[in-house]
Amino acid sequence: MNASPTPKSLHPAIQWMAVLLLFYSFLMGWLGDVPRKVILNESVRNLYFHVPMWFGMLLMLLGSAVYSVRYLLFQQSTDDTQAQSLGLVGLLFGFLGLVTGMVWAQFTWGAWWSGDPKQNASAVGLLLYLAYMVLRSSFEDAQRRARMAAVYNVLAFFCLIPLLFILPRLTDSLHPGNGGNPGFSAYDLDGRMRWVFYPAVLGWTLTGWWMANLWARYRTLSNRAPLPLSKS
Amino acid sequence: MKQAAFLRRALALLGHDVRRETRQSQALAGSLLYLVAGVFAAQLLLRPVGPAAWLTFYWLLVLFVSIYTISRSFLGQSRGLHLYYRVSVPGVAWWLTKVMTGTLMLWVLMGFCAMLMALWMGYPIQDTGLFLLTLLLGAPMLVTVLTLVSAMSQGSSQPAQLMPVLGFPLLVPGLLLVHRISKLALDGLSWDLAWTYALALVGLNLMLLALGVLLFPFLWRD
Repeated sequence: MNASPTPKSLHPAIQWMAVLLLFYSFLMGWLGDVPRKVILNESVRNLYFHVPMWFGMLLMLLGSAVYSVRYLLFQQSTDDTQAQSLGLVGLLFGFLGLVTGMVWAQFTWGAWWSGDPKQNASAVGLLLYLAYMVLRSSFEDAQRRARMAAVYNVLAFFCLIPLLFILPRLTDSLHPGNGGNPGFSAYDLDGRMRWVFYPAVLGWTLTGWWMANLWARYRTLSNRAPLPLSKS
Repeated sequence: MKQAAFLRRALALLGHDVRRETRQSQALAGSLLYLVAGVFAAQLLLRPVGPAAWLTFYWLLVLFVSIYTISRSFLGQSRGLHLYYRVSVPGVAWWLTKVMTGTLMLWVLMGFCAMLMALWMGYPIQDTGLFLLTLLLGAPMLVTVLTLVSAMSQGSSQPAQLMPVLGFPLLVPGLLLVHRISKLALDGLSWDLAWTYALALVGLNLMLLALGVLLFPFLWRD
């Protein structure tokens, strides 16, 4: 098997930008001024931490699907590794988004889990990508694994869209932005929050990109290294 | 002229696949027996059965039997037959054929399941027309996803376990819609609301069908 090229490392400027943006968003996220709202109170700060997780997750999964399409078109194993790493980081972001959402729900809705359409949809979304990892682990042949995983990944992304954007709109939801609840556009009118929220989204997205890049490089190198017990 | 030839070939392929299924009738009989055993066990356990439980059980059983039935479409195939199809039929034509055959089979199974449940557990559906519409639109949704998943899991180390693990999360959006519409049929409510869901389901079916046209040739290639 010929060695596949290692993906290039991310430009240091992007790495520094990710660090600075996250530092800024954490600082302003905890210490900055936020509007006082009934019930929400200080929990409104979750906008800086919970919502960027979802933006980050969707962008990571979109990137993963794009790499999968590229794999199907050109059969380069690097594309497969990139798709897998972006999928993993997307899964991590999704998990963190679910957990931060549950903590917030405990304080505002009064329960960790209330079967809200958004909660259900995101749980199924996580299942979709956990299944992607299971699919990857059940093929011996690397090329076949890459091809099947790429097809599944594209399919999963297209099934995620109706799950996250269309179905919750067909039912009542307590989630901000649904069923007459003020969405984040209402908080957006408060310019102060916007100045922390958008940098947080950008910072987390860049961090996710960086993590996926590191993981892809690590995977490529560890695939290349001979296993201790295998005959060389 | 060219279209006519393509249509003739597609129809021939569909006829071939349907004939193959009916000749190996023990396979379809297996699915029917699956339903008989499932419904019989359920009517012993779920007694008395409320309308909501009836509907939920109906869809769960249909989901399981469709996984069982569609998984055979590729997993049961011998290596030689698979090779023969691959050299003689383009992937897209094969995909459309598989979807049509699967949908036909699932309509039979869904109707049979409803009849069995009506016999042993009562028939709580108030609007049968709407319920039939649900079955009509629900079958292609199940078949498209499961056919792709079945083609994906062939050649893996544990195809039988992979089918439900990959299939369940992919089927959730469609099952939610199907369950909503049939709940309306159960309560005999007006069709106004049902149309919204039915349109969403049609959209989902078209999306899945198109994705299959694009993706199936890659699964088919081997």
